[in-house]
Amino acid sequence: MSEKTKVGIIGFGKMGKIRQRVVDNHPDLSLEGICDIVSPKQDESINSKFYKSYHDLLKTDIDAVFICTPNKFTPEIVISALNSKKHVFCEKPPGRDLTDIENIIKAEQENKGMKLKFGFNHRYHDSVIEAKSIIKSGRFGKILWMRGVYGKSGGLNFEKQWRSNKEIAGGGILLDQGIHMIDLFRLFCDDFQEVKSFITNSYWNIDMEDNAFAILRNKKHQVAMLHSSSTHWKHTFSLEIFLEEGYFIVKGILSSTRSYGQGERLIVARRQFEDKSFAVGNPKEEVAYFNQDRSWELEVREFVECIKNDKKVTVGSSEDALKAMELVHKIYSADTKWITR
Amino acid sequence: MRRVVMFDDYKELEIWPSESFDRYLKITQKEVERLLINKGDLVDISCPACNSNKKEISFNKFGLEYVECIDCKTLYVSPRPPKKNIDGYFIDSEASKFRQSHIVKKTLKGRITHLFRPRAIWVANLTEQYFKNPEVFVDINSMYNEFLEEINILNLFKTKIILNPLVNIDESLYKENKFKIISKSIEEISFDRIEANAVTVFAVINHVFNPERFLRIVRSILIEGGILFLTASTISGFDLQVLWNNSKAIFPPDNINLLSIEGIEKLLEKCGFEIIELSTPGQLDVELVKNAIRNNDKLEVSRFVSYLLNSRDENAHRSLQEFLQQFKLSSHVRLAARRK
Repeated sequence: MSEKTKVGIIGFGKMGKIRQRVVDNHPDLSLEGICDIVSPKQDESINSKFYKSYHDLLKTDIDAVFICTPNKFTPEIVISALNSKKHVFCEKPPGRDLTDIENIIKAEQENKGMKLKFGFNHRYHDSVIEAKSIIKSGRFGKILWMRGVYGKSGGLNFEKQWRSNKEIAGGGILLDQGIHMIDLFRLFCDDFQEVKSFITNSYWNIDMEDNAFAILRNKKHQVAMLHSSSTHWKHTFSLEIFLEEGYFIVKGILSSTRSYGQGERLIVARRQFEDKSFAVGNPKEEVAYFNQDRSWELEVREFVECIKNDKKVTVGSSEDALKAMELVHKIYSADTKWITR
Repeated sequence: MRRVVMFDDYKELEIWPSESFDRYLKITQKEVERLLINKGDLVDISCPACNSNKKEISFNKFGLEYVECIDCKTLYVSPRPPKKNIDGYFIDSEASKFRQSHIVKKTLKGRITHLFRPRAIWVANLTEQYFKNPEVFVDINSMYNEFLEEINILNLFKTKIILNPLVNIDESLYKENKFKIISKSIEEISFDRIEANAVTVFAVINHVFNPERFLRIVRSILIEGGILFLTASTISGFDLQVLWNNSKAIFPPDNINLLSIEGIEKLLEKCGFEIIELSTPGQLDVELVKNAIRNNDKLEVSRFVSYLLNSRDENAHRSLQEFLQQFKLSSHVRLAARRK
């Protein structure tokens, strides 16, 4: 392999452009080609060769590829890239359903040595990294329960987007955005075995869910509640983690649109019910504000380190993707009215 | 970069009992004259934060001139006593002894609860985020044995070192081999012996002769990526800006460098650090101004500030203090920075 890792990008929509920026700023990466079915507009600056067919890009001597396509096309392209002996960084979700990720994993197993990482970038937000680090220290005891709300407001063209087309997306807001919260639940509490849910389509004229309400429980009796919504008229991200000795709340998440709250905050407090009576139910909180979204850079940095040092992908691995998809599937299936509608 | 907003329920008197503090100021004034002004020539300096030579005279305290940097708004004493005299002052002066015996010791309970324990946890949380198995911790001139006890309780570091030529270290800290004590100033030690993951420098930068030189030496004892934890008073804070020359907190030599937030950022960058946290989690700005107005009829502050503090209730004052923290406008600054 050359000193710089040669990479390509397949799918040059919003995510493809974010990846281009990160690749351009990474000292060990060289962007060799971009592929999309739509030619770049005149005002879009691309400093590399443009391909209309991903097959042509995969025939070049690139080492790795970022796959940023709609869900329907993801599995076929990931499998093709792995079979072409390219390392793969793939956006979430890993396809439309469980079969898609299972097929991807089969291709991964047949192409040993190729690195495969999925873009669960929320794990790399500073608020999440800090919460994980402190919880890991054990100073707050064990996690009792979590509650995650991730909601967006749809928008004027929401029903016309590919994300609202079941044939292309495979699932609604839960698969598109809720899967990040599921991944974070897994980060803090591992897997969940029991699932109860209500899945609804209450507002948007689409043949998928616009709200998913779920309660999950694992073998350690930790419970996680999820609300994933595209009728949350105020964009919201909130992950509350309550432990024996206190709590952590991640409020807002820095995003490319900066619309999920006023920045990103991590609220930390110790429970107080022994020393001061007025503190019961109203403990002192420490709020850490973060002003920079480093998640895109950090996850790509880790992907490059895995390639350069032949390290196993441990965050955003195919197993993480499979487990997240299994939970998505369980949440859909747990609402019998929804699946038999 | 992170910044922190936090609320605690303590009052000025828990940390700075007014009677003792007034006595401390009187003793300091005498000692400044005896040990600093009457003992050698004063040295003219450029801004200790940004190095700019553009400055304006602001006011005189205890016979020394405070000037304001035109570029970064840092307030500092210039000309100032030479380094050896300042260092000597903190070892020998009656003021330093009085501070330890009459202020720190008398307010120990409050300081442990509200200052030392939260600081130790701050150090632990950030260190653990960047190092799986941190080896070496160094505290420089903290003057607070109880903070070191809190660090010890956390049991995070294998080796813990105190660099402190200034005050007597509590026997308990070295008798049980909890800490290795080096009773020298940081400039006197051989640096190749120390490779620290974390260094704490609390309430020091305000009174060192040359902050830039000091921080460069601190950097040299950190490993790459090692974290400097620093607290200080900043002139960007509400009470210092409002009260200015009338602030009891501005006096030499304890506060000969009152760096602005912008000055601190420039200084750290210049010294080879990447700031990962810059917060002003002070609790007392609003209360300090309120108390100053109440205790001095002749004190002139802006009409709005006076109206706000006299005619609005505790909720408004608490919201104001929260606003000051949010926008880095409280006079107590804390920062964490990694060695680049």
